Amino acid sequence: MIQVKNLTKRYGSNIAVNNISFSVGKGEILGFLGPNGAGKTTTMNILTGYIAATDGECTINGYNVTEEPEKAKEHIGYLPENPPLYDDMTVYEYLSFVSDLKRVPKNSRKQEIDDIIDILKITNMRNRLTKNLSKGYRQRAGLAGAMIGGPEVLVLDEPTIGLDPNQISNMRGVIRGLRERHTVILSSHILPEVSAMCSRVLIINRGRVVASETTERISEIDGSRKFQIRVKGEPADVLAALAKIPAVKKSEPTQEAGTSEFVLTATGGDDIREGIFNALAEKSLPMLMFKPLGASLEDIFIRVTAGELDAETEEESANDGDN
Amino acid sequence: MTAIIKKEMRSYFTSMIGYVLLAGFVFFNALMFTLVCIQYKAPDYSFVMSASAVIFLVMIPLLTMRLFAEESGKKTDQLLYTAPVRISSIVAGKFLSAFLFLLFAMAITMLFPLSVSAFGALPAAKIAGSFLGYALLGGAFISVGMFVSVLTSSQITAAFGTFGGLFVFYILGAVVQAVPTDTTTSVVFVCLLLAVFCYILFDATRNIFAGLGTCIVGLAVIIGIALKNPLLYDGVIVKFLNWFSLTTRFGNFTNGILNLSDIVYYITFTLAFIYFTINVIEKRRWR
Repeated sequence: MIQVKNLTKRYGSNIAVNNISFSVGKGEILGFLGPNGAGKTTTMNILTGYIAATDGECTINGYNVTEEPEKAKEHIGYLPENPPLYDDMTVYEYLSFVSDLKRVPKNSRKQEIDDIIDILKITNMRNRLTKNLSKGYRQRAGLAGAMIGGPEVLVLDEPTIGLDPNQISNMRGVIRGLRERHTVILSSHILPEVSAMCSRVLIINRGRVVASETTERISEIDGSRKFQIRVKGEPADVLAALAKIPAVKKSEPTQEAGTSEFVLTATGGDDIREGIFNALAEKSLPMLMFKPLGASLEDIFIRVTAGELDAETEEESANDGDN
Repeated sequence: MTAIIKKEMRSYFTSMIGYVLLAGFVFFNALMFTLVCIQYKAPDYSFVMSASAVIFLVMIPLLTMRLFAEESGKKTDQLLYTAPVRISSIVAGKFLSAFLFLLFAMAITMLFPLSVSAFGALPAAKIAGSFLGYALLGGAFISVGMFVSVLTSSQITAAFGTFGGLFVFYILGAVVQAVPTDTTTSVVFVCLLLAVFCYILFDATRNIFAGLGTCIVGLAVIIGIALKNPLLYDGVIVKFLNWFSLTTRFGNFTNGILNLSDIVYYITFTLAFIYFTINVIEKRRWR
């Protein structure tokens, strides 16, 4: 569906995107994960034909974005980070304009808009001026605009940024639902978010793809690395019991009298959960809480760039870690 | 293209700007009409048009400032440039919407000559010619305004830039009188033009040999002509600047001279700036 080959974008001497290659299959939801300034937005802007690449090529559904831009763009809907809404239009007027721009046949226009605003639950906002919409509704109105014309590919730049928790969970549901009809690329700098929505993740750092992983794999890393435990007993006893566990043990202020709390971070690649349980049970120290702490994006980065993941890392990314 | 035209026309009239511009334009024309035609009982409406063309200096910048500056300022250009539409039709749509607005405003002022036509014979052909010249001049100014608007993302900058540009075009006819016409200055001037042309060539092709080669060949030709027939250079600067003097040719229309070359000139000028506008956008996106 989407083929990206050796994509590079330079701004003067500054390299925003450095030789990125990947492909996305039909019905996949791919997440771009990376810190701010990693090159996610630039890649998306190139993919949608908004800016040109310095080098490399993108093909959408068989059409080269540089050579046949109009054909390629027919298959893409783009939601930039700031939804491109016109302040002086209502949601419905905006969507009519977008339909007009994308040359949706006149007779199916109304039906399509009604369907989309129904899916996105913004029907009650249809006659409100877009400048009076809250951030969440702006985001959804923008997504509606991207969906107009039924493009096979949807490119969504930080679709949940600035939304409240309810809206975020709603938006995630919507995006997961898009999978039936669209191939989706979305970006985020929040790990759990990507794990929740995507089938595959590209981790991008400083303009390079440092890893390409399925989300199952990411959540494995996520769940077996860092834990918080609360144990009934003295800290010294607990530490003695856990002496053999290969982990960094950090004492935390306890919330309950007579208990001690630790954050354990595994140092090896092995799963340490069983070991912790058995070690404490042996010494009859009852465990009152066991809470996996999701690995932060930072942790993943450090692991990935240190080559701990058997990822499709490029040769250069190893050098990149030294910088 | 129609989508863009509809959207632009809408936004002129959903904000104040459309009404303010219409009111200002009609009021100024009415004022001129009263001063010239009513007070002096003159039937020739062309005088009014030749006097009122100066309002373009204020009106056109306000009409064109938002065309592209607003889009890039509010990032809505991301929608336009990622939609399956050619850049040329976006630019054409933007130009036509401003031009149609101008035609609409002019249509209202047509009521003035019509209102006095009942009281005597008007030089109808001359007035029609003036309207044509007025529209062509306005179109040329709009294309300049649109070009400036695409260069910036601030509407204020676009408005002032356009005003400055149009002002230069407007006074060029007067400035030309004081320009030196001797051979040496003219040769230097032609060399400068050559340098600019070669740079543009180099910039477009990114080929140093193309730029340098053209420069050397051009220089040889210039010097050759200067040695062989220096009289050819007389008044080159004046001719060159006159080419850009939009208002000189407008005078022909209001004087009742309908010259095909004038019409072609205005259309060429307008198309050139539309082309520059398209190029600026394309270039920004493809490098």
